[in-house]
Amino acid sequence: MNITADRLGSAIATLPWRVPLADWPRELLVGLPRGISRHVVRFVELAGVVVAVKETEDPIAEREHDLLQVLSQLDAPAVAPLGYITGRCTPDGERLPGALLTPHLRYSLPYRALFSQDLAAAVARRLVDALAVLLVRLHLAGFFWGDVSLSNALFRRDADAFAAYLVDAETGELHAQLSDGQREHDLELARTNIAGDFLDLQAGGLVDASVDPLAVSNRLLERYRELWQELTGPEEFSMDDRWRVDDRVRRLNDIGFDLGELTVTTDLDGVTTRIEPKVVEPGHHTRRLRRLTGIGAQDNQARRMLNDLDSYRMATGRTDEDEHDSAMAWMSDVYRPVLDAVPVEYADRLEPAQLFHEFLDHRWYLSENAGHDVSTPEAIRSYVDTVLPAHPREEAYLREPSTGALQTLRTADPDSPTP
Amino acid sequence: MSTVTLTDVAHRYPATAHASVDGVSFHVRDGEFFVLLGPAGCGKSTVLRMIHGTERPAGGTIEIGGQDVSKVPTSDRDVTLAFENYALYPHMDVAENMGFALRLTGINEDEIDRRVTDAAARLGLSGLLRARHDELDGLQRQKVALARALVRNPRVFVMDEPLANLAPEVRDTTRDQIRTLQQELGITTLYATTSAADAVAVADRIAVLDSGRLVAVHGPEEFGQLR
Repeated sequence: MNITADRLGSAIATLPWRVPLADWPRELLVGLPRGISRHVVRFVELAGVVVAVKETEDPIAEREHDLLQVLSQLDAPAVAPLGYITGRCTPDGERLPGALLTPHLRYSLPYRALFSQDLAAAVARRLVDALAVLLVRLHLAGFFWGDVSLSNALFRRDADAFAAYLVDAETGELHAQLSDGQREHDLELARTNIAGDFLDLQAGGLVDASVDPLAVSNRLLERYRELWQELTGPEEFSMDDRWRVDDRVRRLNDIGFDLGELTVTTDLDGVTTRIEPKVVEPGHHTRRLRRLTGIGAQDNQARRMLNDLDSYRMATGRTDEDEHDSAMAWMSDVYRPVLDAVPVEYADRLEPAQLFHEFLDHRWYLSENAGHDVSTPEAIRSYVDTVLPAHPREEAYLREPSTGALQTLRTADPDSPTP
Repeated sequence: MSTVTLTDVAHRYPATAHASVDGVSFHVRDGEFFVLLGPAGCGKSTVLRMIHGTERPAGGTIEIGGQDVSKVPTSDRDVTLAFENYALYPHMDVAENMGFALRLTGINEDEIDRRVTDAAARLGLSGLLRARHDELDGLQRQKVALARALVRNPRVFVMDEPLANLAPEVRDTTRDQIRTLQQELGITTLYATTSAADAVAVADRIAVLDSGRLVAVHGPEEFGQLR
C-alpha cells in the first residue's frame, strides 16, 4: 500500500485502510456524507482537521489529486487535496479501491446543510448563482468539470450570497483554454444535473413549493452567460466614447473582478475602438480590503466592509485623511470591538467576516426600528444577546450537525452513517 | 438509415499548437458498434464531440444518415451521449430517473410517459418503473443509465470511455452488458476507449487513432491477430 500525503501523513497512516470504507467503525466517522455520489465518501477527523475520504480506483485517485493540486496552484475555487492511497488490500489479500483525501474547507457547508426543513426559493437561487460563478471561474482557468452538481460543490456564506467551491474533480480536464464547445458541453451537463438535483429534492418533499426545478436549472445558464459575457465579451464604440474603457473596468470591479489585461484595437479609419478583456482576476474587493486592513474575507463580505469603511470615514470627518489611516481607525473603533465582544462559546458559530456582515445588518435593522442611528456598542450588545445564540455552529457543522439537518439527511439517504 | 460518415475532418482546440484531429475519414454502418481506440489525447473524444455537435470541425464534413450535419445544432442531430451519469437520484423512482431530463426539452408529460414506457419495455425494465435505486441490481442500474439516453429517441449513441471510472471487478461485466444492450437495440454506436481488450470484446470494427490521425480500421479478429 502506498500513502502519498501532502501533510498529516502520520495521522493518515493510522486509518484502517485494510477495511472497505463503507465498513469503517462508526466511532471514527464524523458528520455527514456529502450527498449523491458514485463512490463511498466518509468524513473523519485527523489532528483537528475534518477530512473527506473518497474511495475510487487507484489511477483515478492519483489523477484527481494531481488535478486538484494544479487547480489549487491556479487559485481556482476548489478544495486543496491532502493525499491519496493506492494499492490497498484486505488482510486476506483481496484488492480494495484506492482513496482520495481532501480536507474540509472551514465554514463551508454541503448544500443539504443550508436548509433544515425544505429549501426556499431564495436559497435555491443563491445556490445556483454561486455555482454559476464557480463554473465561470473554473472555465476561465481552462477547467472542464464534466459533472457539475450541488453534491460536487461546497458552499460558504459570502455576505448575502454563497461562494461555491469544487470538491469533486474526477471527471475534470485541464486545458490551456476551453473551446466554446467544451464550455457548452459543461453547461448542458450542469443544466441536466441541477434539474435532477432539484427534482430529486422535490420528489422527497424537501423543496418549498415555490421552487421550480426547471426554472432554477435554466437560471444557472442565464447567470453563467451574463457573467461570461461581462468578463470576456468584446465591446465596440466610437473613438469619442473612450470613457467606456473606464466604465468596463468599473463594471468588472463591481462584480468582484480586476482587469489584468485588455486588448484595445482601433480600426484603420480611427473611428471605432474595440476592447476585449484578456485576463480577469476575481477577488477585487478581497484584495483591496486585505491591502487596507489585513482582514481576509470573501468578495461580497469584503465589499460590505469597504462600504462600511466609507460610511465611517464620512461620519467621522475622515474623507480627506489617508485611506490606510482611516482603515486603521475603523478597525479599532468598529471591526475589532464587534469580534472582541463575541463570547468564546459563540466563536465557532460563523466565520468572522460573515459575523461582521450580519452585525452590520443587525445595526441597520435596529436603527431603522429606532428611527435614529444606534451606536456600535449598543448594536454589538444586542447582536450578541439576541442573534448570535440562535445560529448553528457552522465551523463545527460537520462534526456536530443539527438534529434537524440530520433528520433531513436520513430521509434523503437512509444509508448515511450515524455520527 | 443511421450511418455516420466523416470525411477529412479536422479540429484544433484554442491555445494549442497542434491539431487535435487531423484529416480523419471513416464510415460507420447502420446499427454497427464502432470503437475508436487510442491513447489519451489521440483525438477520439473530440471526434465523438464533433459527431454529437458540441465541438465544431475546423474542416471536413460529418454526415448522419447521409445528411451533412455541419450546420445542424446539437439538439437536432438525434445523437445522444450515453452513460454520462450513472448516479440514480434517491427520491425518484426508475421512471422519474429515466425521464427527468426530457422535461428540460419541453416535451409534454404524456409524451415523456410514452417514451419511458417504451424504453422500459425495450430494456426489460417494465416491471421496475416504480422501483427505487436501492431495489435495483447492477445490471438494472446500467439499464436505467442507458434508458436515460434511449428516451431521447437517438439515431446514434456516442459513449466516451463509459468504463473509465469503474472498479476492475465490474468492468468486464458492464462492458459485456453494454454490448448486449446495443445488439438488442440495434442503434448505431460509437464508443471511445483506451483499452484494446475492451475494443476487441465489443466492437464490430475498431478504428485506431494516434495523434489526431486515423491509423487503420480493423475487424476485431483481424485486430486481435495484429496484437
